[in-house]
Amino acid sequence: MEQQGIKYSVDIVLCIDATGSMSPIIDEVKSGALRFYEDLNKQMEEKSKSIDTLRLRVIAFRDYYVEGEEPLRQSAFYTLPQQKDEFSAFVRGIEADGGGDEPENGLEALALAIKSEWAKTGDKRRHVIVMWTDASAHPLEKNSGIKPPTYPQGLPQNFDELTDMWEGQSYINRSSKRLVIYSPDSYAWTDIANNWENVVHYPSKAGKGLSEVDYQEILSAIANSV
Amino acid sequence: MIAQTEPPKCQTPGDAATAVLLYIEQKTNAGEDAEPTGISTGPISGLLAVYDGMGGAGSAIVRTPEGELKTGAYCAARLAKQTLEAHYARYVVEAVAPIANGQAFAASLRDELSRAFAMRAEETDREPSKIRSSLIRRLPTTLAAVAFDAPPPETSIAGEAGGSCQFHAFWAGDSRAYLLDPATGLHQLTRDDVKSRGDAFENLIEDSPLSNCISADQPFSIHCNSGSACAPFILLAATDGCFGFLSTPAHFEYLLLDTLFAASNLEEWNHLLTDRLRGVTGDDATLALRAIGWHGFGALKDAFSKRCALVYETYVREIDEIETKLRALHTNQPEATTDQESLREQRRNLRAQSWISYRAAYERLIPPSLP
Repeated sequence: MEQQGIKYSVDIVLCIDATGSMSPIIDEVKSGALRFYEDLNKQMEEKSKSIDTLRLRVIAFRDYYVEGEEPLRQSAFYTLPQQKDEFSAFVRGIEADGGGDEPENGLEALALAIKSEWAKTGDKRRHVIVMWTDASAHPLEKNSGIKPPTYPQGLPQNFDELTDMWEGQSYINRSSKRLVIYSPDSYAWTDIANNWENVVHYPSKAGKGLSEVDYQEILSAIANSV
Repeated sequence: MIAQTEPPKCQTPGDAATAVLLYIEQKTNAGEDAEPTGISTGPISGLLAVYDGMGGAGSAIVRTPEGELKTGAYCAARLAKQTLEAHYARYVVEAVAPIANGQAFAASLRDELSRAFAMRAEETDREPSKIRSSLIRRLPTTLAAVAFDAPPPETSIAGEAGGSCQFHAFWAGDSRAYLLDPATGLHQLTRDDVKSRGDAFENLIEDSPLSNCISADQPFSIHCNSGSACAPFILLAATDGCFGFLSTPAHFEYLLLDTLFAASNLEEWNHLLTDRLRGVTGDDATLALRAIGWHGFGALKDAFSKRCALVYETYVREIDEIETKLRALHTNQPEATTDQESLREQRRNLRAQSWISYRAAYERLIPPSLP
């Protein structure tokens, strides 16, 4: 018999709150985003889990309900290591600005992340979303029917629909999905942490105060079969 | 010949107690699987068990009773082993009686494990983490065991009990117990506790989180599946590091038989199995195996030679040939090409076909899924 081990296909979507309140910690979050895939890769290598394909995309979000700014910027998937420079340039280009007071459009960013074009090949797949925010989220039903003109089409109308997107099979594979949230205990992050499957929540402002021990524990939960 | 209800008519078994205990650590001295259990109480009686400490869910560091700092997963697997072996000793060895009621044994084992894990959690001095997640548990581990013995006298067929063997598989999580029969092949005796409720092939691909495992902070179940079979056959328990990184479930059977066929004695079989698994696994791997009822290693090999050839030709050969081609293409041209994609597609289809034709016999002894 041939000695061919099963290989992993890993997709990661990084959602970053880019509103003004994030200014004090945006550099920390950006370096966290840049190192996340390397650390995850390392964890998987340490466990001899062989990665065949690794792709990342980034969604930087602010607030559609505050006028005069770019409310959301998203990249396509970058394949690493081939497109590492493009990925790094996108992350480095994120500036913390605008957004007004909280809440922000974190749930819209999360919905777009869930709707990503996830890899469908690979022996084993891991689909990971990581969210960094220091704020609560606007309810998805806010201003229902009179959304701002730039507001994305095809998003869930309310939290229940978003929950169905996560728990169902239409957008993301039930077994492959993992969601890591660095956010305060606030709407809707606490509800997600308490009720959704395969979620790891670190309650703080965008991961502030995260110890190395806790970080490694989070990576382990994502990298290993559980 | 295997059956799940009535004790079968059997030949008198051989007396060779043939056992393999295999233990592979990905990281030396940090293996989160505990060493396997292989207890022999007679020619056709004993206990095999494996324990896979769940490194993803239990990576938090705790202090062991000996004062060492280890992961929760490491400690959990060893505590499960210690608890099962002690429980088996009290229940079977000291009582000098086989397990008459597998469900009762499973229920009492669960109670023992719950007590032991709650006590250990109390003793550990870990600072509470801020992290919240159902993916993270305190002292998480799987367990898969198979206890076997001659059936109790009242259920035996007079004069034919010599080669009949009653087995009870116990498990929590995705480690497995199997029966390997020379005529009908490999049969999974346990049903994986995975949230996706996938079959053995889907579970190779999906890597689903577990729906049930032993831990100190969540209620858990110990399932039981009882049946009987005629010796000679092989019983084994294995963690997912043994079967979870192969192309199909049939590849695991072939790996067992191909290494058996290449070995000239038990020790060599163990070495070959270890080498082969080390080359393919992405996890710690533990296996406990007992060949029951053969008159020596040569007879064991002879009995499985036809089956080995059939499994290779029917379920394995074509897939392996494509993998060889894929590897050669990848070596010469690391960038993805149309040829590679076409071969990958062929491999996907062949793997699915292999499982479709292999599945019915393989699942013959799996218990029904829970509602």
